[in-house]
Formats: sequence, structure tokens, C-alpha cells
Amino acid sequence: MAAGSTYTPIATHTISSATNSYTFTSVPSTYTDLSVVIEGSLSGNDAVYMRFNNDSTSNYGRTYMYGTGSGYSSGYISSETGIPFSVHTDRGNTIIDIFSYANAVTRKTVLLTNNYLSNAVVSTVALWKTSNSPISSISFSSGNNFISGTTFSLFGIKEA
Amino acid sequence: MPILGTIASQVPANLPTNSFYSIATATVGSGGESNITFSSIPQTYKHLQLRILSAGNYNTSVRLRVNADSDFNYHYHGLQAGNGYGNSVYSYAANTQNSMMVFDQQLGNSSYFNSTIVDILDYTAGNKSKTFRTFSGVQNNTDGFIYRSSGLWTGGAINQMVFYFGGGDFFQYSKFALYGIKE
Repeated sequence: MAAGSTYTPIATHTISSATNSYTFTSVPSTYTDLSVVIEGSLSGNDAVYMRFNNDSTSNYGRTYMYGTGSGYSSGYISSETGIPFSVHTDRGNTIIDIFSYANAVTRKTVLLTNNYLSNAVVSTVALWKTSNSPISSISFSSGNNFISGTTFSLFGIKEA
Repeated sequence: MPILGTIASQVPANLPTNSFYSIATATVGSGGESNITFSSIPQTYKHLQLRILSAGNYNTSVRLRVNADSDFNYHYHGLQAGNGYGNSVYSYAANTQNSMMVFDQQLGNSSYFNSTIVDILDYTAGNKSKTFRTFSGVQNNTDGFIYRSSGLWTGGAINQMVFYFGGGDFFQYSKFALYGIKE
């Protein structure tokens, strides 16, 4: 069996002054999957929306389940303008896996885990549902600012 | 107006770049496949990860047998939501099974695939049972399904894994990619 080192860091960015968005641009098409890790907080509890290729139309859907320690629930959203996840004022993290992002054959599926002590542990599956286009940019935006020190890290994973 | 960030120009020196290795990938061709086999798995890593994109001609569980073991040595617990569960989260447990349910393959077709990550910890250890951790989900235009589970196989070092689901085929473009993680 072939063995090649992968899970390659593509880019990382640390917020140095408050801003409410960040974008990975010109994402190389040479990997199989992408993984994004976001660690940090917002100036106010809010949703962060992830979008692909500057698409902010109602082309996303998701199913989620979560637990807060005192309860649990799940839901399905058929159509929305991005893939949201909660970020709070305490530090936490979000791990996002994007499968086969560079192919032009299938819709793009995302698995997302979002962990904030003040909120919940949330598991989400999401879909960029009307496009088979390869993903070349990934943007994150919120109604509140990311706190200085928040990091966005993008990794590429290449299959054998 | 949002202020756009820019891609960093350098790879940070403190990020590890040599601990996650691609071992093998099985991609399903136009004729479909009834099972996916990884054999002669090298014993030189600490953990394994599978990254799976799959769809098939039935909505049913994808199962695993390790080292051709068909005895009742598999146990698993799971949480799932979506497709028919409303706002509920359904939990289940299955002990002493003759195969492991790795994930529940639902709703997929030629455009919408189930995405799954399976982590197998300490897979070469001969003195402990093997732990499997799964995160899986699928979303299409009308519904979705999400699944988390942990599983246990009470055998020795893992050198073979066979994935299958009863009576069905994995569709073309389904893909099982195996990775090794060194400590």
C-alpha cells in the first residue's frame, strides 16, 4: 500500500484586530478533502455563516443535533443562505470537514462539530446543494466581531 | 461592510506535517461494489482514520468485519437525528453482534453522498480491545440524517477491514480512503 504524508497545512490566520469576517481565497484544488479548524470567540454570542465561492443565495441545507448538558434537540433546515454555527464570547472551537471539495461530479457535503462550554456540543451535516462546482474559496462572516487571537486554520488531506 | 481577510503566505513552523499518512483508497467504478476491503494494513502507525464518501441502492447500515471475524465480538452505541426523527435524537445500543454497524447510510443517490469519518484508536495493540469512533451524515434537497457512534471490537491487532451492507451495492464515485496516524 502506498503511504504519503498528508493533512497538510495550507494556511492559517490569526485575527489581530476585531473583524467580522475572514476568507480563505484561491484554495488549491490538489487535495481530496479540506479540514478547517477555528478557535476563538466573538464579541457577542452569534452565528457565523460559512459560504463557498461567494455564494450567499439560498443554496445550503443542514441537519443538526446538539446537547447542552441539560437537554438535547435536533433539526433540519432545507434552505438557507450559508452554513451557520454558533460562536460565543468564551473561547471554543469548530472543526469542519469538507469532502471531495475539488470534484465537479457531486454536491459538497460538510461535517461540522462545534464546541462552546457556554452553549452546546453540536454536530451538523450540511450541503451546498445546487452546485457541483469545485470549492475555491471559503468565507466566514458574523454580525459580531471575531476577538483578537481567534485563529482560522485550513488543512488539505490527500488520499493515496 | 465586511472586511475580507487574506490567505496567509507561509506555513506556520509549529504545525506538524509528517504524522498523518494516506495508506490506500478504494473508489467504486461504474459497475458498483458490494463490499470494500482493506487488507495487509501496515502495522507501523498508532491510529487509523477512514474518510468515506458513499451512497448505495438501499437505506441501511454499512457494516464492518475486522480480520474476517464473524463471531459475536462487536459492540456499539449511537446517536442519530434527521430523516423521520423530527426534533428528537434517537439513541441505541447493540452488544455482542457478529459485525459492527459503522454508520447508517441514508438518502444518498448519484448526487448526494453520505460523508463519514471513522477513527480507530491503537489499532495494533494486542492487549486491548479496539475502539471505533464515527461521525457521519448526509443531506439532500428534502431531508438529512446525522449519526455519531462508538464501537468496540474485542480482538487483536487489525490487519484487515471489510465494509459492506446487506444485499446492496455502493454507487459509482463512492470512496473509502484509509489514513495512518503516527504519534
